[in-house]
Amino acid sequence: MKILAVDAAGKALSVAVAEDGRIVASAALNVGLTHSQRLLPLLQSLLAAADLSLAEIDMLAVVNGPGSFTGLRIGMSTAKGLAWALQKPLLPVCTLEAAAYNALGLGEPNLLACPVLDARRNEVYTALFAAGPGLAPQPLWPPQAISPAALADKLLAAAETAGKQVVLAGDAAELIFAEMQAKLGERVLLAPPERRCFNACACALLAGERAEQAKPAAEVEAFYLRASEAERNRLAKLSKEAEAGGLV
Amino acid sequence: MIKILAIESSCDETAAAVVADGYQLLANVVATQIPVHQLYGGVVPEIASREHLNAVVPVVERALAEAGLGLADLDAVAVTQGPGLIGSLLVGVSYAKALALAAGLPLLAVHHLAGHMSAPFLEHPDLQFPYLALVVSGSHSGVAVAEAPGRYRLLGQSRDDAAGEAFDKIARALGLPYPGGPAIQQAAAAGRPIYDFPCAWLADSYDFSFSGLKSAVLNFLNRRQMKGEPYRVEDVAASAQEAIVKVLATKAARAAAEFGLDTIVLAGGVAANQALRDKVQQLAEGRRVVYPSPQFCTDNAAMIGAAALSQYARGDFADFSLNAQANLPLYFYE
Repeated sequence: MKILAVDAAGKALSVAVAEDGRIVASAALNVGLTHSQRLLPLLQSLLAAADLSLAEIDMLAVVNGPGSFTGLRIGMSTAKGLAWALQKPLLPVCTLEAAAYNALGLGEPNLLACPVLDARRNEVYTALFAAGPGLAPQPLWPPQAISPAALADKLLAAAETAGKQVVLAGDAAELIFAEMQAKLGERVLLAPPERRCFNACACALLAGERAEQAKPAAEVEAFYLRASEAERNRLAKLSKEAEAGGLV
Repeated sequence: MIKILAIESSCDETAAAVVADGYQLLANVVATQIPVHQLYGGVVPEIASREHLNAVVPVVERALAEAGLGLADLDAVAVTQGPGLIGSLLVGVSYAKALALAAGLPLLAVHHLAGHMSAPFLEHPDLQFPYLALVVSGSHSGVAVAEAPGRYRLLGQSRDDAAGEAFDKIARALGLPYPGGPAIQQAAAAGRPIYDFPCAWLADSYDFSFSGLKSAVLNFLNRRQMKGEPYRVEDVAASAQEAIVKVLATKAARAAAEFGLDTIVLAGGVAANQALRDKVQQLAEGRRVVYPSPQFCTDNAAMIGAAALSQYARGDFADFSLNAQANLPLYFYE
């Protein structure tokens, strides 16, 4: 079964084709946020170079977030369009899981993976994973948006409890590595650059493990992790009003 | 027969249509997000983008089902490239590109306002170029000469708020719901234009300015409220509508006369306003005035398909590096 995966949720852009647990072709760019212009030409050149046609693809996979809201929508809209037009199912893979897979690819039992993605507002989208018995990393924390300072405290506690080292992955890893190091010392490692930002291969391989979960394109949703600013403000205002109302 | 699937997602409507030769409409689907944005008193770009992503597959699916066609029966896929909200545009553009690539169809990038100016062809296929187009919506107010398909010469546009934006802001100040245009029209029907709000004529120009009017209405309301003097919302609505409509209609009629055009086309959401239609008709000095039905005034994909037909005929195709453009220029000469 051939799986075509798309990742446009972060700063980098990648596409990959996997077949039966093997990467057949992959292409990646890390030249800034121009995913809308580059995604399809990149895919076309990859398919041409690999002598593959879209008609041969059995299933689509997409990194559905968290990440850049605009970036993940470019990837999602594209994957949905391809899946719908080809009448093939689509499987979403969480950015954090794909990033953790990249850092735990060797299944090291003494490592935990902490993917971190830029969430702006002095926060990162993050979660914590241990190497799984299978391909998929095992989640220890749910996905969340927290400040690097709060993350450092949580990571230190998790590393000490588990007696393991933590490897930082994801496209914000380099950005906060020094801050984590200040707290965790040698307990924290930085994944090499090529494992920090290109998630299409991981997405394609993980999708192959759970192909039965693929859905029609219309049913696949983005995983933003964070509500829009307008929604957050509105909810904050409503709960404030409810509080004030409760006092009266 | 050429059949084009058109997709429009520039603001808060996710829309898809199938248009065939001769401006024949085979399907027209619009999923509006107005109820979602009403909670915020206006369009929230991030929420609009999220809604588009959820709606785009079912909307396109329904359009093709209504037309009784599959992708293989089509000749091209058209999409609104801009102007509009970038996050919203990107969903339609990315989706359309993927469909075109997967189905092996040519791609047509359509200007949103070329779409609005082509909307009248859907109901009046006998319409002839050149004509004078008054394009008025929530984000645009412009007067243009439509010289030929794809050739639009902009004579003037709003220097600040678009006409529809002025309606929205004044409606909000009056406690009327979003979108403001229909709400003000409805209130105005029960009122009289007894207040003399200022019109910015900007002499010797076809440009518009509506921010002064908006401020004048806000000041009027503040003054009345502070002094405890009553006023009727309906009368304020009628007076504000009159001030907006008068300038729009006058400039459109003057431009048609100056450029010797015997047809005036109204386009965009504000073209659904009855007072505007009446006023243009009144000032048109016997010229033909054409305006689309309300469903083709507000954002829709049928108009994108109509504009795309002539682009298809000219071989004006886009490649797969096409990007959405929030500020795509209003007109273009080749």
